[in-house]
Order: sequence, then structure tokens, then C-alpha cells
Amino acid sequence: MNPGSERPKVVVGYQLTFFTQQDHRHRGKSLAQWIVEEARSMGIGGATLIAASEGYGHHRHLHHRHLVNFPDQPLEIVMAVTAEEADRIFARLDAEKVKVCYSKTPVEFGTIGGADAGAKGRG
Amino acid sequence: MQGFQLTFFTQQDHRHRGKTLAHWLVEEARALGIGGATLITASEGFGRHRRIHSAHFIELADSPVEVVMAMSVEEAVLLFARLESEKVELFYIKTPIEFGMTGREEA
Repeated sequence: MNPGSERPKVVVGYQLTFFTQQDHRHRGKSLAQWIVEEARSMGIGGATLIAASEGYGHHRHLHHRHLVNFPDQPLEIVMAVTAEEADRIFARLDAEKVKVCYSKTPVEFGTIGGADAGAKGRG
Repeated sequence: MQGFQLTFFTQQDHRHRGKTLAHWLVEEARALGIGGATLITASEGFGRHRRIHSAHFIELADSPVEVVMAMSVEEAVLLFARLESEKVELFYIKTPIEFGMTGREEA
């Protein structure tokens, strides 16, 4: 993808954060991994998966890190999307009957020092 | 305090001025007087090159990294100007927030 050529420099949209855990699975892989791959195949610009140290969710059970085994490690997936992309993601998750907690917040996003600044290479 | 949360996305092997770009960004924010910044190493991610980067035990070089900070509107303007002048290329998310410290004496 060539930043700056297709999109305006700053995009108004949403930050979506999905909260799941390591041992939640969907279609034979971890749900978190599935969400990242699905976002990618839908043409979403990027997604980041973060492994958390501790958390609790709708079951009120606190999950936290043990040195040896952490199958229920809390995970978050963060992505910045346009309103239209957000609608498509939620439609996709509904169609797949994926139950996952999320937060959605209005944001601006973009690439600083992209094509406009003439920075072809990285610093 | 009203301001912005800025999250910058980079990876472990992107460098600027002889250090990792993420580390440079944290130091630059500090030098500009921004109250705090947190660097988080992510497990996996993909971005503008469409390639999925994972943090494996053996090869951590391209681990995705994010840097999160909260700042005033003026500080955001300063930081963006600084990044533009350094010609660093960085994806970011900017969102309006309220932030502050709990446990104030007068509260």
C-alpha cells in the first residue's frame, strides 16, 4: 500500500479494541489471530495484537499471568478504521456469530511524515 | 485536563538517529516536556506492508511496538511539528481524552 496516494493525510474514523483471551478459539485458531487475519483479508489498514498481564471480563474471573502456563491470558486487538470499515467488521463478526467484547471510540488517524513529507525510506 | 491520547505504531527494528524509533519517540516526548509515554511490545500486527509480524522467541526484530501518551492540545501540535521536521514516518491514532492524576491532596 502506498500511503498518501489513496487516502487523505488524516482520516476520521474509529479505534476498535476487541478483548479476548488466548484460549478462545474460532475456526480452528485462536480468536484473536482469526480477528487479525480477518481484518487483513477485509482490507483494513492495520491491526495490532497485544498480550495483557491481567484482566477480567464478563465472567468476573480474574485472569493473570503465571510463569509456566497462561492459556487464559487476556488479549486485545487494536485497529483504526473508517466508519464504513467498522460497519463491515461488525457485520462479519455477527455473521460468524463471534461473541467478543469491544470498545469503539472516535479517532483521527494517519501516517505522519508519509508521502507528503517526501520520506520514501525510513529514518 | 483535556487533550489527546496519541498512539504511535512502529516495530522493533525501525531505527532513527542510532536508536530504535520507538525509544527515540519516548525520549523526544520527554524532552518536549510531555508528561508521560508508555512503550508496549505487541505480540503480532500488520500495517502498511500487509505482512503479519509476530513476536517469536527467536526472532524479535520485527515485533510490533506501540508508544502511547496523553498530552495537551499544544503539546500535540509541538510533537507533530517535531516529527514532521525529523521526517520520521509513523502511523498514529489520535483521540480526544480527559486525563489527570488521582489522589490529589485537595480532593
